[in-house]
Amino acid sequence: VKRRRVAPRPRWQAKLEGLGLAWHTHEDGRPYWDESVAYELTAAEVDTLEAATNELHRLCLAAADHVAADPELMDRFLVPRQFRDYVATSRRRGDPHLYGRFDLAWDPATGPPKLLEYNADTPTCLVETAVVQWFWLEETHSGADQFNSVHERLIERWKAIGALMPPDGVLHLSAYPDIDEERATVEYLADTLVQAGLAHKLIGLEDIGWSEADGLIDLSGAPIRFWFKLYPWEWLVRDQFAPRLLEDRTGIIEPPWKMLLSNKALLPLLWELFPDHPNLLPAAHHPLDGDVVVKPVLAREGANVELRRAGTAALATTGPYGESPRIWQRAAPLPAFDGNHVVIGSWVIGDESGGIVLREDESPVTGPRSRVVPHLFA
Amino acid sequence: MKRSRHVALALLGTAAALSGCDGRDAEGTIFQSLADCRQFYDEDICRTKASEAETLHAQTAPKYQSKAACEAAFGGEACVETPTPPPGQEQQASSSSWFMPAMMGFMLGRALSPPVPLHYGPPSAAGPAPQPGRQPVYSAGSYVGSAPAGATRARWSANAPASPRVAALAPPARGGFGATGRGYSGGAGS
Repeated sequence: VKRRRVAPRPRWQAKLEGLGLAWHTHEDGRPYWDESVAYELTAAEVDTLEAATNELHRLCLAAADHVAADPELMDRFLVPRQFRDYVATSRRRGDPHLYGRFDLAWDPATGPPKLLEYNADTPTCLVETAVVQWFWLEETHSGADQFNSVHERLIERWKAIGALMPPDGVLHLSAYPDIDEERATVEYLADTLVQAGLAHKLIGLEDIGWSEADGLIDLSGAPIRFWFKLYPWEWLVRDQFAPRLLEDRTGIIEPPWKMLLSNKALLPLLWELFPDHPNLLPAAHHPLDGDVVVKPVLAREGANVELRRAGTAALATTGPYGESPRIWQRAAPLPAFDGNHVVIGSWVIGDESGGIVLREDESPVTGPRSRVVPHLFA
Repeated sequence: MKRSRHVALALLGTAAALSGCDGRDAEGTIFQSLADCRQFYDEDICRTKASEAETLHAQTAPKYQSKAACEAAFGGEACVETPTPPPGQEQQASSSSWFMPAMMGFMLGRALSPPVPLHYGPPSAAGPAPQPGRQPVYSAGSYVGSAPAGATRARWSANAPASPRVAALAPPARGGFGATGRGYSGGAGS
């Protein structure tokens, strides 16, 4: 892996806006998307990442099966008790899923890629990965390759999901309409649905209704039979309509069993099931020795994460999840390039590795202020 | 090769062009009555969006303590009474009702966007010069579009006759999703 300074494209901001990505710059003027930098990987490094991603996804599916067979374990995941059967049933019957993004720490000089966490329910950076960095490559290094077939794989995955729906089935996509990034994400997914030949409707998350006769309904009163929610399960199960979900009249993507994988309690379970696996870090529900990262079981975007060295807090982020139970994970130092720590976001589309997106940050804890940077390989 | 061979966007570029950087749509379709709206959307959508627009309008329209003060700004017969006080004056007991310019309609952008309530701006208001034959309309003080010249100071009426089918149905429960996430700052992604 090499970090290179490269010339940004003239008017790159307008190019991104044309692709639906309006949030390319932070409010303080610092870039969110930074194309003055590009990472260059080797083909062998890409193969390593692809294999590690496929392997980790396989381990995670095995962990989900393990919990579905022993629903008592869901207490560790803070799944409300009344949802246990719903989650286990959804896993046992194999409810289809669309995607997820692993966060990996990897310094090729020191060993294999290590799993930091799995954003298996509502991963962000989709448009950045599938579209923005692809057009960057096309316009700046059209002869080079990129580990990124996310767009094509999404279309293929929708076709597979569509084959499970009735021919006249409609998939509703919801998001908070006032959050640019989320609206753009569902609009992009709607685009891939159209290209997969599936009918869809967009709806504001808070516009969804419920009626006795039809279950979840849209604003026209039509039943929502298939629903891409872009809203995390851990919040969904605590909303007012949560008991309505247990009626199980709507096929939801991501499916209920994904709440087991997008949860930090996955990390200790993986270590229990696959101790010393080369792609895993030691993790537990109790304090560990040495350099550790302490994370809330339920948290988002790097909030309330604490890095502890020899029992002393070395670095902590703030956030609204301070009351959640914690897990301890052995710290994997992120490789630093010119002082920038890099996290690899590695996509799983369906059940296969589909590409990566890189984020860099001066801080060793990646958060919403990190910069998304393009990559290529020879 | 590990890259997509081709990334085609069927919708995204068009949709993005309609979206301002602040997340608020700059364009949309203006409806001055439920009948207008029903030509484009289902009855339920029109009623829901109209009701949201009325709520937003009551929250955001400029407020005056007397009808005369409001009419001085917006013209004769342009104002209606509202129980909703302006922001920051919720505690003021001296005036139990307020006056604001009447809603003349609302604008719908894309499916996910909230409706934008509209009222006529003050005759002297600053803003882009109206096109000949069109009058500017305003929402929460900012120029958002134009109404056809034929549009008079007709008031929005949500009490327009409804179809019997809709009137007979109990209203469905709504708003049961999303509240937990609103309790946290930031979005739902991770």
